[in-house]
Parts: sequence; structure tokens; C-alpha cells
Amino acid sequence: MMQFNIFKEEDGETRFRLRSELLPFFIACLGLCCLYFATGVDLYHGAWSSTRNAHGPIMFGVGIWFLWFRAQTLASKGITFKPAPLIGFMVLLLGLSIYVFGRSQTFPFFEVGSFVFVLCALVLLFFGTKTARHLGFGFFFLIFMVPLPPSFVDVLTLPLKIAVSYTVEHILYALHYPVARSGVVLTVGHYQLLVADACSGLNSLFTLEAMGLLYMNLVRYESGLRNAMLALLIMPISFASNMTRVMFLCLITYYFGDDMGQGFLHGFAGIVLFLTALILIIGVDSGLRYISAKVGPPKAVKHAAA
Amino acid sequence: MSTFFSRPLGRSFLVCALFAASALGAWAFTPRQYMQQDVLLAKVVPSQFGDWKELTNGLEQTALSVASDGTLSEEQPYNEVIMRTYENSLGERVMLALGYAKQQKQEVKIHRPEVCYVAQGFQVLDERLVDLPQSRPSASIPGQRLLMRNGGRLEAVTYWIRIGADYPRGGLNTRLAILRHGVHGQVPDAMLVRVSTILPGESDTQHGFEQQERFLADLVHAMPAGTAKMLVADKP
Repeated sequence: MMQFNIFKEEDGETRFRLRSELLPFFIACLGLCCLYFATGVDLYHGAWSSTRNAHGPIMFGVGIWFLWFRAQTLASKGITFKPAPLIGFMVLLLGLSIYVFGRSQTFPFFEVGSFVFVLCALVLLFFGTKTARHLGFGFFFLIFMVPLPPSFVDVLTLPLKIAVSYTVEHILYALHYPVARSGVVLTVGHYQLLVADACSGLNSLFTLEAMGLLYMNLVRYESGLRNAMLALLIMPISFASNMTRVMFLCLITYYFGDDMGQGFLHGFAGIVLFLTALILIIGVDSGLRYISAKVGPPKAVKHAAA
Repeated sequence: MSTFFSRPLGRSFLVCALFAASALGAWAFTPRQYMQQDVLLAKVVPSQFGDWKELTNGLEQTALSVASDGTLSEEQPYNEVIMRTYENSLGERVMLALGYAKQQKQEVKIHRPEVCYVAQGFQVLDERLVDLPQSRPSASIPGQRLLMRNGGRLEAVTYWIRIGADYPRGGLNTRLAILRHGVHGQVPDAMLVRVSTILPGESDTQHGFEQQERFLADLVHAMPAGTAKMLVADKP
């Protein structure tokens, strides 16, 4: 196969060569959209509209964005394209087999999961293995959008719900609020609040974990240990953010009543959660950087993605 | 011809052809043979059989949720549910719960009692697999026994779940049963057959379970073959 560069120098700027190289890829992508259109409609009405998989569309959007973002840096990394039809078609056939199985036997997990394989196959077919490796993290990220079986999610959600309720109860009690708990029902003052599945924070755990990994990938720290520590610390950060959200809602309801607590502010509390988490992630990361700078030689150099 | 396909544009056409083939394949392999039976349980389950007679005021049982418009969902997987309490000549009472779902899919399927009971506050004291003998030649039915406690209430439960022509035990086997039917082009229906007794004490456990076993065998025997196949697999 010919090696070719998709960019050409024109007036000192690199531009995409739209004609013979990129057009076939876009035709294939169009076909991809047609094939997965039915899957998308089913997700919209089904899994992605339920609290269990609410993080799905966000992961999809961010994943696609990241792939496009990474594609911009291909030229600066000097990556040439060498289409790999053999491996490309193998992955394509694998992905499509998973699709046929998943769709016909109503397994959303396989049906949606196949999308990642097929998209990867298209990149391999038209641009080659080096490009696919460069975009690799984006494909990994897309795995987070796949809907998980309800039974599996429930096993994780219940202990989280109980843990969040338990922590909020004890903190509010320590602050001298009239609070009591029975299972996952909190009684604050005159009001009762149920810590629902959506409040367990499982969706936000996945989302935040994915966002944290994205953050690390964008910021490109060399230290594997620090990356691993941040990835682990995101779990307690997520828990802390969710707990803050539930506490925030309890206090709103206590002071301003049910209407306020269940109305607009309920959605606002979600934003509070993400902001809390974001601040904590950046804070923890800065803390880790400070510690490692103090402790070890300054060999970890920060490379910003171009 | 080969040079066309070795160029990117040709490759993209081939890819789109494969996509079209996949869409067709997915449609073709979708199971379309529905095993559902349009029989109303309330009409065919006898109110009186053997030594047992239905009580008009039944005892309270662990709930099986049905949607008001009859649509199946993960939370409400039944099309029809009947709950009855039967009493025999000795005054012993047995509760019967039947839950029927016309279609089973991987993510919308019948619930298992060990999950439902726990969700409604029960504690599992014992759980074992058991083969329930039947008076019909179709051998014994693979079922399960549960011993549950909720505060002062000690409950013995015997049940089986029929999915299509199988009696899967456990979550994984349930998925495999639905898959087996799917691969043969069938959308299975499902029936939960659950019998429970409130036990006065743990020493009555053995007697309670044996009674439930006989109750189930008598119930199936009392139903004509045509309607009994709601509860029991229709094996050729």
C-alpha cells in the first residue's frame, strides 16, 4: 500500500486533502451512521433515558469529540497513513458479527459495544495502525457509553446509595440538624427524602472516572504512578461530590421546603456536583504534583497536547 | 475490478455493502416465532381441586408488579398475575402466586423470588435446588426451595420458572435459556409458579415443603393438558 500524507503544505499551513483520501472515509462513516441509526433511536427511548445509563450520551459525545480533537494533532506528530486492509477487515467482520448477534438477540450491551469495534475498523482500513493507536484513548473512552445490564448496575448501586445516605445522616446530625434515616430514606425536619438510584452516584462515578482519565490524557503527565493514583482517587472524589449533592438538597428542602428541593434546584444540584468534583480533581492533581516535586527529582515533565 | 476495490473509494463501497448485509442479517436473525399463549390464568386455574379449596379472602403475599396498561418493562415484567390462597380440609393454608409474561427479552425478563423477597424486606435463611415430581409422564420439574424470614413471619417458598420449554435456575441460566430460544428463532414466554406457606416454627419446615410439593403436583394434574402447558413445558 502507498504511504501518503493527508495533509499538504499550502501557504505554510497544513490542510486536509479532501478529495481521494478523505472522501471514502466519510462515505464509510455515512454508512456507519445509517447502520447504527436504529440502535441510536432505541437507546434514546430505552437505556439512555433511564437513570441507570444516563451517563451514556455524555460519554458518546465526549468520545467522538476527543477522537476529532486527537485527529487534529496527527500532522504535528508526523504520522503518515498506511491503510491496513487485512486487519481492518478482520476487525470490521468481528464488530459486525457482534452487532448482528447483539441486535437480533436484544443484547444492548453487544449491539452498542460493536460500534467501537466497527469505528476502529474504519480507521484501520483507511488510515492504518499508527493512526488508530494515536486515536486509541478515544476508542477506550467510547466503551463508557455502552449500556450495562440492569442487574449488574443494581448490585453496584445499592451499597452506594446506603453509603451516601449513611454519610449524609451522620454529617447533618453532627451539625445539629434534626435528621434521621431508615434505609435510604432520610427524614430532615418535616420532610422525607428518598435517596434514589440516580442519587447513588453510579452514573457520575463512571462519568467522573472517564473525565479524569480524559483530563490526564490531555495534560499528559509522564508519571504513571501519579496517573494511577489520580484514577483511584477519583472514586472517593466522586463519592464526596455525590454526598455533597444529597446534603445540599436536604438543606434546601429543610430551609425552603419540598417545592424548592424537587424543582429547578434539583437539576442545579447536579451542576454543583460536577463543579465540586472538577475542583477536587484539579486540586488533588495539583497536590500530587506538589508532593512528587518535593519528594523526587523533577524528572516528570508536563507535555501539553499541541 | 480488483484495482477498484484496492483503492480507498472501492473499499468504502465494500464497507457499505457489508453494513447493508449486517442490517439485513440482524433483521433476519431476529426471533419472530412467539411462544406466547393467549390464555387467561384467572379462568383456567381451578378454584377447587383435590382437597384444596380457594379462600375468598386471600392472605397477603410478596408482590409481583404489573403495569396498569399491561406493557412489559424491566420493573414490571408480567402481563398477568394471580394470587390465591387455598385451604384444605385440615384448615392448612397455602398461597399460590402465578406470574405470566408473554415475551422474554434479555433485558426484560421475569424476576426471581429470591430477589423479590429480599427487596421487600425478607432475609434468606436457606435456599436449595429441588426436583419437583409430577404425576404426568413428563418427569420432574427443576425448581427451588427458599426459607425466608421477615421479623416474626417465617415463610417457606417452593417455585419454578418456566421460560419457553426450559426451567432455568439462576440469573445466568435464565439468560442462556432466552438465548437458546432466540437462536432457534423463538421469543419465549415465561411463567413463575410460586407456592408459599407461613410456618408456625422451624420444626414445621419439612412438612411445609412436602405439602407444597404435593399441592403443585395436584394442581398441574387437575388442569387439562391444553391449559396445563401454561405452567409446564409442552414437551413433544
